[in-house]
Parts: sequence; structure tokens; C-alpha cells
Amino acid sequence: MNTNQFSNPEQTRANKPLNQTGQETSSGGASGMFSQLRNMKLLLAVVVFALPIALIVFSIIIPVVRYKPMPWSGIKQTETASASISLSSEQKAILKKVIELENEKAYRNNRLELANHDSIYLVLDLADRVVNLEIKGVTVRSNKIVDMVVSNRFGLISHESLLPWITEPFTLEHAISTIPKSPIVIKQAPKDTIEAAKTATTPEPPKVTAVYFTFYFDRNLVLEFEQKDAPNEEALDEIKAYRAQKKKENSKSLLRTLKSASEPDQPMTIKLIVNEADAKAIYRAVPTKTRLALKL
Amino acid sequence: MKEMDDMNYSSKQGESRLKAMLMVVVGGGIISLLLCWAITANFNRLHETALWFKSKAELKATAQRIGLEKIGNYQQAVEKELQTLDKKLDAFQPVGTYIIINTAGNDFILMQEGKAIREGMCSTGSYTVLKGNDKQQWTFKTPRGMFKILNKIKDPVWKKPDWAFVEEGMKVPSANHPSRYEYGVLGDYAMALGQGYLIHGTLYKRYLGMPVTHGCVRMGDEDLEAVFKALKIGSKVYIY
Repeated sequence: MNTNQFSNPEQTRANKPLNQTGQETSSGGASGMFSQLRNMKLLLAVVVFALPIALIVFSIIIPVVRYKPMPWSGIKQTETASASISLSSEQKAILKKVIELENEKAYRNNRLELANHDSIYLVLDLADRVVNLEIKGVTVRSNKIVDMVVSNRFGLISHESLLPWITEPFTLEHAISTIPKSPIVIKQAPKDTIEAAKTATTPEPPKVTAVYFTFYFDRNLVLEFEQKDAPNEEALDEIKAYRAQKKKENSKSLLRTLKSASEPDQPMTIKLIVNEADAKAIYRAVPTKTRLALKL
Repeated sequence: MKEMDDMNYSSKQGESRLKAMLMVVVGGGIISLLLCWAITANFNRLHETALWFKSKAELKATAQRIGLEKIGNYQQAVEKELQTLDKKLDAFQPVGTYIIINTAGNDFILMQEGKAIREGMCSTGSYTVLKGNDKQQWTFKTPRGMFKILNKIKDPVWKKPDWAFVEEGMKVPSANHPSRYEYGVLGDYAMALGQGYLIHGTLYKRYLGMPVTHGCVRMGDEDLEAVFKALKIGSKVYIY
């Protein structure tokens, strides 16, 4: 009995039935092996790509095709402009100026509203590239934005939809960060003066940190802050944990998209690169439910 | 014999095909899941990128809302409103000298009419939570917000609160016991912000710029003197 037929193609060929034209049938031989290999390749391709492609189609392509350019679903859809309006370049320039003025008005109204409260709040001026901390209408810290990345959605959404979105200050809902909000140290009181003398420590300079945080505001606004300088090696673990949390947020977004029949809100993200000291001051200073006045 | 060989051959072939299929399904499945994970982790970025083919926002809707014939008047009206808002916002600006204290960086800026006239280091709350033996607890942090100078004191005397004794493992004395009074530890000047919080001097100048206090704001001698002279009772103190 030939126990080595797989490794002997000639023998295999001799044992194989031929079809009417004298060719080997697909049950074996070189072409059989080839077709088997091809089937396997096909199977592999199906197994590997079917799920990711379905995921891309249902979570990205279909939602993007259906995307209605609105910053947040809570905003009333404005009537679409009649196509008959044609604008000259002069009119366009005037309209752009009016849009700028309306944005400025919304921004100043928001600042005025926030100035009437006691809490520290944020003021983000994208036009002048500054993010300020204010208390009662007074700028206590002005932070220059070194670089920023604004979501493509801002360019797609008309002023008519953006204006109602920015006419009220935003409220922070939750945040994730590489640094703690308050660097609390718990100390147990010593029992007597001898124990107090033993446990006495000299203050040390604050631990080296890397400051990365994301503020999730209501109405779909997401502000990401990153320090300008490369992080110190000591802080890499915190950054890893922060990025893992961000991935979790991404997964939540994807699940929301897959679950909902209609296209859910996608974040209106603004990423700001600032100095480490500025980023730290902002994160530590603002209350957990801080508010924000945004100028586009 | 030949038939048995054929049967053996086809059963072995079937077995190996099954193995290969299993390997393909398991291996492919793992790769597939990895790809799905990558898509999930980068979902928002992919979604953003996919928007590139969408058309940009237009101005027509704004033109329709305002009306092209009214646009000039409308612009003027908005400009007037902006001026009014500006005046209202200006009313919040403090008159005279005020100070801004940064608890994250432990520094301060003395301001006059919106301009910085002096900058320096200070020390603010350490964020230590001291747990006493009788379930009492104190958090040493500097409060944030807007305050006013309520009182200005020369050669201040520190009346030690309970935590100062608990922290040193000592028995807490009665409210006005002589051991509560310490002289010379607060520097030459102090300014009261309310609720026991002060801006004062320090013996521990090497810790300026670090968060080491029990909630008060400590300054170096020269800075303290300048701030004391510049600020009046009622001057505003902004702490963030």
C-alpha cells in the first residue's frame, strides 16, 4: 500500500480518474490541489475581510452617506435655501462679515452670561487661537494655542446650523486625563510628637507629568488638549492609560452608530496643542462641570 | 487493495482539507478580529476622514434668512449690539490694582488697569488630606474663585487652628490657650481673604513655587511687601 501518495504526484496522477477530455477531475492532482488552494484562499479572504468590511460599511460608509450636516441632533433643522439665490462675490464678502459678527455676538453673550456666575470658566477663541480662563468676566490666564486640529464637520455645517449650537455656553459632562484633578495626598495624623518627628518629610517638587486630557461637553462638543512638548518617559504609563480610555470612547461611538437606526451624533472635535504649564493650569483650575464660551 | 488505497487517500485528503480549513477559519478569524479592533479604536478618525467628499457649507441659507436687501441695516444693528455687549463686559473689569494667583503653577501676577506690574512665585495648598484620630479630617487646599482683601495686618500673629496641633501629634488646647499664638511665622504682613485664608510671608522660602501650604498663599518678603502696599482693602484677588 502506498502510504506516501501526497508526496508522489506521479503516483497520484496515475491513480486519478480522468474526465471525457482526458483531463484530471478536480478531486486531486496538480489542478485539484490548485483549485483547493484557491478555495482556501477564498475562504481565508472571506473570513478575514467579511466582518471588517461589514463594520466599515455599516458604521462608517452608510452613516457618512446619510450624514446631515448638523452639529447636534437637538438643533432644529433650518429650512434649506432655495437654489434660485445666486450671490455675487461682493455679497458673499458681506455675508461672511455678517456671519463673523453673529458669531462674535453669540460669543460675547455667552461670556456675559458666564461672568454673572462665580465659577471659573473657559473661553475658547478659535479665530485668535487663544484659550482663556476667566473668573467673573476677568481673564486670569490667557493660553496661546500652539496648534489645533478642527473637525471636518465644522466646514460642512452651515452657519444657520452652527449659530444655534453656539448661542449658549457649553457645559462639561465628563473628562479623561493623564493627570489627577487634585493631586491629593492622604496623611494620617501622628499619635504623638515622637511619631510626628519620625514621619516628618520635606516637600518635594511635583512629579513629572505629561498633560493630555479630553473634555466632553454637552451638545456634542469634544475638546482635546495635548501638551506641545514630547512627554517625559516617566509619564508614558499615564499616556497609555489615557489612550486606552480614548479608544473605549471610540468604541462607544461605534456601538452607538451600529445600534441606532438613524445616524447618531458624531463628536464635534477640536484638538488644541498648548504648553504643558497652560494645559495643567486649565485642567486643574476648571470645575468638574465647567462651562465654555466658544468663538468660531 | 487499490480501492483501499484510494479510500485511504481520500479520507486523508479530506482530513487534511478539514485541518487546513480549520486553520484558515481560526487564523483568518483572529486577523479579522484584529482588523475590527483597529477600526473600532480609530472609529472617530475614520468617520472624520470619510467626510471629505461631502460638499462644503454654503452662504445661501444665511442670505435667505437675513434678506439680501436688508443686509446692510442688519450688519449695522449687530455692530451696535456688539458695542453694548462690550460695555457690559467691561463693567466686570476690576478698577485699580488686583492680584491673580495660579495654584497649579504656584505663581502670581499683580495687575493694575489690566497690565501686569509684578510677577513672582508663591506657595499654595498642598492638597494633603489630614486624617485625625477622632474621625476629623482637613483638606489643605487653596480655594479658587474671586475674593476680596478683607483686612490688612502688619506684623501678624498666627493663631494656630486645631489641625496645626493634630498634625504635630499634640493635644488640641482650648480656644484661646497661649500655645495657639505664634509670633513671626507669617512674615511682616498678612492680608485676609476670609474663612481663615491669608496671603502672608513665610520662613520656608526655599519652598516658594511648590504646593506646600495648608490653604493660605505664602510669598517671599519683597513680593509680600509690594503686594501689601499695592492692594487695598476691597481689592480683588482671583485664584485659579
